[in-house]
Amino acid sequence: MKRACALLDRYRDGELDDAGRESFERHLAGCGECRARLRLLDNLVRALKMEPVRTVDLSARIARRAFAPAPTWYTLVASCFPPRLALAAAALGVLLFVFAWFLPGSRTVSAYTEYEKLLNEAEASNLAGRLLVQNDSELLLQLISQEE
Amino acid sequence: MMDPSDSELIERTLKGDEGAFAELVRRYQSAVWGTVHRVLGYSSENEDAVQEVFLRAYAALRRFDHRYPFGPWVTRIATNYCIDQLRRKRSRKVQLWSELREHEQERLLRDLSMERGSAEGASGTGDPEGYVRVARALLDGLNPKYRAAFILREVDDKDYSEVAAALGTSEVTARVRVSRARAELQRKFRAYLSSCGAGERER
Ligand SMILES: [Zn+2]
Repeated sequence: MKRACALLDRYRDGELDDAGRESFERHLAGCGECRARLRLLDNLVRALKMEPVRTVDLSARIARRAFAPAPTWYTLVASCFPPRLALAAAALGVLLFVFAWFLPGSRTVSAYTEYEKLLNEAEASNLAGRLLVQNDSELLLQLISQEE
Repeated sequence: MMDPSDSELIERTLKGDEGAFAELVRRYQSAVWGTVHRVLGYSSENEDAVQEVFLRAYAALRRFDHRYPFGPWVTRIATNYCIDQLRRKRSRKVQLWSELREHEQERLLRDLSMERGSAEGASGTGDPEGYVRVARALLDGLNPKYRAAFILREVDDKDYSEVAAALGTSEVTARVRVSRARAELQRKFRAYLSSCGAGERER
């Protein structure tokens, strides 16, 4: 690889000035490696851009799901069993409920418990002033991606 | 009457207005469908992915800073979600490449290494679905972070600051990832070429 090959990305991104572009194009004339890469990228990207994206309007369904009450421990338990076992599940649920009642912070099981835990961590780190210097949603998502 | 702004919709959503959230989703769902489709590839699971992205956005909505535009923020959630899915389910995409017959593989590879506009090259009239298959097969081999960066920059035409925002990285990191993706794609393409014995035709 020649040193000029390192400019391929700048060239492809259209970031070279006129002189830079001309000199890279002279390099291209003699560099099969760079030519092959640019050709391949052109062709791949063109194909990917032609691919139609199927979309369905999900707005009403999503909003309904978002506003549905967070599933509680008993609906989660009940959903695991066929109707004939629902009674047994309910009995088990009562036991669990009694148990869970004494555990701090576990009285409802939200679908987004883990997510909320991260939100709270981010909030706690606000005390260290980290949220003051950047958009808190960015920090949140960083935390989430670290977690993942 | 003017349409309510995004931030009005967000405020109403936070006050419990389901219709306002539906409207917000309506405004951004095609962008999210696009991100999900381009990063993950087509799958019947994409609908679940789109729903999950908006539910995550909803869960985090009360912490969203209204001074920032909503679009890039939701794109970021979508990108994170997709990268996560790619990490978890490396086997999500079936082996599209190996489903092709050998002569089809060879023809596609030969086409893809040709100059634009050449008679049977990847001019868009040849075999678009076939090219997409090759592209997907190559992309499937990329590190999810590089793949997302590549799609955002090359296919969605975002500039590096937008790519960085969607990935939650610095602009320099975004550039490095796109550059590595480009080099990796060529390396993998070469490997395919030589496995088909078509290597000498690349240049
Ligand atoms: Zn070169």
